[in-house]
Amino acid sequence: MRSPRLVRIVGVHTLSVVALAAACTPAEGEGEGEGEPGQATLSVQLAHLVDGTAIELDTATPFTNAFGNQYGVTRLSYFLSNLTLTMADGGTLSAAGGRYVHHDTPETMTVPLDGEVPAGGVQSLSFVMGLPPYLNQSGAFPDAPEALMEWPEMMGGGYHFMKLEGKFMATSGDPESYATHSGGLDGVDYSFAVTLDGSALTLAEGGNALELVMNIDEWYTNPTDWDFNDYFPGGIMHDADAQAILKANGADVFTLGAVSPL
Amino acid sequence: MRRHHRLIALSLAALAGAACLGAPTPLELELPAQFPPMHVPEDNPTTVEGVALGRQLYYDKRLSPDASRACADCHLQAQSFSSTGGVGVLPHVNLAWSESFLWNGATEGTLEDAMHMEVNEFFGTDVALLREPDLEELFRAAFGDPEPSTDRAALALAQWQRTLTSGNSRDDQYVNGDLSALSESEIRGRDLFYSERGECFHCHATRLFTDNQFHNNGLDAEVAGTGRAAVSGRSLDDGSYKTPTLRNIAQTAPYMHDDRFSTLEEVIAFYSHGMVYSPSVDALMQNVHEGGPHYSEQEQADLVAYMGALSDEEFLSAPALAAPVAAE
Ligand code: HEC
Ligand code: HEC
Ligand SMILES: [Cu+2]
Repeated sequence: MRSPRLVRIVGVHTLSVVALAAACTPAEGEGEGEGEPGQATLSVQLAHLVDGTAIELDTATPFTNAFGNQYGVTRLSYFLSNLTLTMADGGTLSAAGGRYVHHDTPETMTVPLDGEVPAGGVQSLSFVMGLPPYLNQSGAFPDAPEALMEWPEMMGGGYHFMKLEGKFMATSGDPESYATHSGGLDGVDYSFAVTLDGSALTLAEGGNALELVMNIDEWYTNPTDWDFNDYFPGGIMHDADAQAILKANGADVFTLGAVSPL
Repeated sequence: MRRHHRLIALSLAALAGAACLGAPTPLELELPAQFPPMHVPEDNPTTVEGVALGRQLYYDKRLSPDASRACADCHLQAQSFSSTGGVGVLPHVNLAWSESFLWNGATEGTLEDAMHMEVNEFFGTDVALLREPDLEELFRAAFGDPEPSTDRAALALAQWQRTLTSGNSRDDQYVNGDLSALSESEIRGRDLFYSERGECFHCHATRLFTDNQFHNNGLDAEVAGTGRAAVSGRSLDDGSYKTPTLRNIAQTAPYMHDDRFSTLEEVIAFYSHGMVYSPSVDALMQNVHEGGPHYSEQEQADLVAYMGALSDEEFLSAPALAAPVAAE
């Protein structure tokens, strides 16, 4: 009496879980260097700093931006796409696609790049801040937490590139909230490519960790000093000018730190 | 209106009866359009017989040690499996996508973990009460062994919970292309919901209408150590509670973790001009010092109307989700 149509095996999800576990193994391993001698692998290690100090998510307002607003950070999540390390000899290591980084989820702060290269001098690290248009498609990230970055269809769909939130001291004297949410708005792309010079760096044999720093204060200056009072309360997702300013200010937000053994 | 899993569930009772000594029958749960994929643990695949057992246990008072109450006493289908039978009774809808349970997220993990907690800690189930022929038959069909255990009861309840999927409200029909499914007021409410003036979409996110995260949405000024903070110990989490789903929200009054609002009108008035500041209030709650963004009467009415469009009548009355006796 059983209808075969109703009793298909639930296999798809199990499969994807297994695949995911396999993908995570290199990141969790202890860098035992399964490759041949002389080969190097790399994980990019994100660091989130203000004026050189690592942030802690908090409701206090310990920092001062270029305009003079006191502020703090309660939430930071964003996408980096197509992280690629290019070696002096032209060899590359990369993590294709969009990678979700969340300050409160340590696992997301390490992005392993695929492949091995001969140990040696580095040329550059490049990536896209946010999701380039071909990746910024509604539904492309169906699972949480990435899915929670969704950007409403009525503002063009796709995903937030960044959610940087916290408190600032408003001119009223009260602590107010800011929510620096960036993304592609109404079909206009505000993601941007970054290439950082790595010629001072060398990858050693085995596993290497390369620190990639987001200097949060730089989102709010150079070229435009940003006064939180101009944008909040309110919001900037629907504000094309604000999105353009963030893109321009973002050019010098990232810097490279040191290479260390993994 | 095609709801395959509903159809499947409908035939569960019949199938469970027909299932004899063979292995349990794998059950594929077909999901509403645009839902996230459902991740089912490998060691507890959803089966026709497992769901039938879970459903029975959910409605069965023998699950409580003195046979005094059933899950369904507080979790009523017509109210999206919530009720007024306790304070802040959370609904059972789309919990398959949740990884933290209860208002403060004290239970974390899979649905299996949550059901273990419910059976072993909340109810304190006495296995002796489950050793009755009718239940032993269901245990055998589901697990190949008639011996009941609280572990298997939890596994079966988790399987049952995975069938409590609601995704066929008028808003779903609208999203899936039926533009006549919403009234003009509901569409205006929807536009506000997905705007920065509304902000609702950031937390009541995705087609699940919850991000399954914790937020302080500005209910109280004194929040130290309450809500999520009682679990995490972080002041950042003071007064934060799990974002409730808005699916079937018109059926789940009263509202908020402490039932402080009895109508959706009161909830929307709160988001409009009733919020209060506390240091941990979520950054998305704008203009808190003035109580909120101050929606017009029309905007408030539109938001209330839109909330009503999130009810899934089919889910609320599906015979397959009702008490097994009533369905047969
Ligand atoms: C006396 C009423 C009552 C009974 C009986 C009851 N519950 Fe609940 N249930 C509640 C309340 C109240 C909450 C919210 C409690 C909290 O979060 O602190 C809740 C929450 C839950 C949640 C968390 C949902 C979420 O979104 O996080 C689950 C799961 C649950 N119940 C399952 C069950 C199961 C399974 C049973 C039977 C074994 C059961 N409940 C019996 C009142 C009840
Ligand atoms: C910052 C995240 C956040 C935003 C933004 C937000 N909510 Fe909520 N919402 C919550 C949380 C968390 C709760 C539960 C709070 C509690 O009980 O302490 C809640 C509760 C509710 C409830 C009651 C649910 C229940 O089952 O009791 C409704 C209805 C609701 N919100 C609708 C809305 C609407 C409409 C908007 C936009 C105007 C909105 N929310 C904006 C997080 C948010
Ligand atoms: Cu946003």
